[in-house]
Amino acid sequence: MKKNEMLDRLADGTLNRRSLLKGLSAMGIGVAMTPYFHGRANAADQATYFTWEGYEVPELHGDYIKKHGASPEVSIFADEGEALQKMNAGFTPDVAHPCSYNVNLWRESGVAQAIDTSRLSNWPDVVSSLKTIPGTQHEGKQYFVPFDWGNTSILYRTDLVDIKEESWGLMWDERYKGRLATFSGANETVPYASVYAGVDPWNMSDADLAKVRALLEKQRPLIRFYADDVSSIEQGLASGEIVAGSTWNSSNVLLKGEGVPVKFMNPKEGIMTWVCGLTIHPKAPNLDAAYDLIDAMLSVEAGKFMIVDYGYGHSNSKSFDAAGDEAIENAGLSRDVEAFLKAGVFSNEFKDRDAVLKMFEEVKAGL
Amino acid sequence: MTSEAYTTPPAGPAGRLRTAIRGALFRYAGLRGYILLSPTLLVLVGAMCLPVGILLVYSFWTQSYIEIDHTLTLANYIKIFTRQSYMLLIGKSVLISFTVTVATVLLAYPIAYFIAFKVSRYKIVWLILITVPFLTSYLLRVFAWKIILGYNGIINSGLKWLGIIDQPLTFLLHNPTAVVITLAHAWAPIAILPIFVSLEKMDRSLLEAATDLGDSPTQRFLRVTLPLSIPGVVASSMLVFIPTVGDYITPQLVGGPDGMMVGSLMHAMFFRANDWPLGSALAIISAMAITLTSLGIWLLTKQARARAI
Repeated sequence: MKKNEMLDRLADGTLNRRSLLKGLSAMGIGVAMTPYFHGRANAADQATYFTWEGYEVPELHGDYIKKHGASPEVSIFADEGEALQKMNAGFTPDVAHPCSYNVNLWRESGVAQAIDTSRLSNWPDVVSSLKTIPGTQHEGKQYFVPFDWGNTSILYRTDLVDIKEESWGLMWDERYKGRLATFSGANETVPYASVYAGVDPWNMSDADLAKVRALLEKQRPLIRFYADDVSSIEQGLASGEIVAGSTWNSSNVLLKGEGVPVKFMNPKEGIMTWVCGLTIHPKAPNLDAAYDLIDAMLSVEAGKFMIVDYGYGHSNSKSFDAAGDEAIENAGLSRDVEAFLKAGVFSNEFKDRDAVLKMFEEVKAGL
Repeated sequence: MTSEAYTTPPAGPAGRLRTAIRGALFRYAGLRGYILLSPTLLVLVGAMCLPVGILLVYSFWTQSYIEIDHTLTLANYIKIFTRQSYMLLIGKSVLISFTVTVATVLLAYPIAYFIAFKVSRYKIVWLILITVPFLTSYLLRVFAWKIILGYNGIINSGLKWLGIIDQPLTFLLHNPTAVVITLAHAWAPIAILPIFVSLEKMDRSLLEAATDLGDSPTQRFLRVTLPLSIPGVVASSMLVFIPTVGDYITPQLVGGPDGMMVGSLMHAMFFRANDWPLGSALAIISAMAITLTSLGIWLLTKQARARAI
């Protein structure tokens, strides 16, 4: 029965229930069939990309889109511990985005496989010092492709904070009680507390751990909130709710772009540096697409976007020229990656990871 | 239909089995009952009892780095009981939940009273209208409170615009008070319904009798309505108290450092700290604490509930 005929019959009351139901079911079948009639983008062999929020934007894998026609399937994690648990529970992405200090743990947990760097056309252009970060290789094989690098430091409001020298001590300044914020991840907060306490964060003895714990307990009453994500800290700084927070370079670029008077500190005890990158899961369902994705992310276009728009460094040495000196300076980066990473405290694995993480969780809970 | 089918049993072992089963079904009504229940029972056992059982077994193991040591040991329980701080955290969570329960029941009672006594037509519409907004996402409702209580939130912006304050109030968010406010709002409809049921089934002629015997409205409420609604109040307290002790999302979003409850620590054990056995032991001990507190409330109000018929 045609639609118009049905409406006409409805209007003059001659449509009975049976005909109405027949018409509706025909329409229902038609609606259910439509996905099979127009060409569906074949999502079956797109790579699955497991990453932090903000890194799934198409500008960072333009070459992949050109080759495969669409962006990869994306899954987001907010915390590397959560990411590891998800993969342990059976989630198999093709490409994941951990930071270098977690690669050993991921490899031993069986969620990272050896990467064949000859399949990456951009690998020769990768900054050589980033290829040999401790923990990312095992038995001569590469398990980690460096992608982005940058700093963790204090971003503070220059109009609300009055300090004589730049030091991590700002996070323990009693004058700003209740107006400080820090990351809730131990990998972000415990290292700078250790550096401030004067101990080596990556090889803490029990006495060192107790010292750092006391320091973190001293900091706790001053903290307004322990942030799970960087945007809470950015919003707090923009509104003035907090005057200083530990965060990454991208917040500096973002808030400066919005006209908020902030400064990304270079503390005298040493700024924290990190390198994050890509790993491939041993059971990756689309290995070729995974290599294409990693290659696309190592490209110069992705690097330029990373430096200019996000303010993080990129592992392709040709990205610096593409981004330009002004963008590099605006983000607080440097062309000499090795010197940059060495000048700060480079994020490494904790010697006794479980003890450190447990200690920090207890401090946060107020125990 | 021949009677042969009933008098001559089928031959062979299969036939004997069929006879035995049929006989058992006829004889034991309990067996028939269990078979009728079996789909639901299977779901219940598989989805509730088995996971709790797994949690219990996990709590007796220990984990270091990635490997889980399967030898049964009480190490986790000893660790939690001997660390005063863990027990204090569980105690703090119970206390916060208690405050939430009191606040929720106090706020829910007038609403339930209004619908039971003052609404004469379309009671069900009132109930639906009150309950339906709370079928939206729990996470979104907590976020909504973050927006209301935030530094640039509705309350602060409103008060600033009115000129009452010039610096935003900082004590609204990121403390246990925010947790109590958010949880009381989120669980309010769960608290309203049992109290409503209890008030609704109260015999109205008792109120008339009380007035005839000389009670003022307030006395009538205190001496007749309130005691008769105690079963509903206790039921809604249980319904609010038990889930809120282990709540994770609300303390995480609005609690701040001081508002941390035991749910956050359990989450940390299962994700970041990668110690599932310790997290399981913490979960079991929290469950025990909740059970004991609930049992305490149940026993304390036993006499009050008995009087309410």
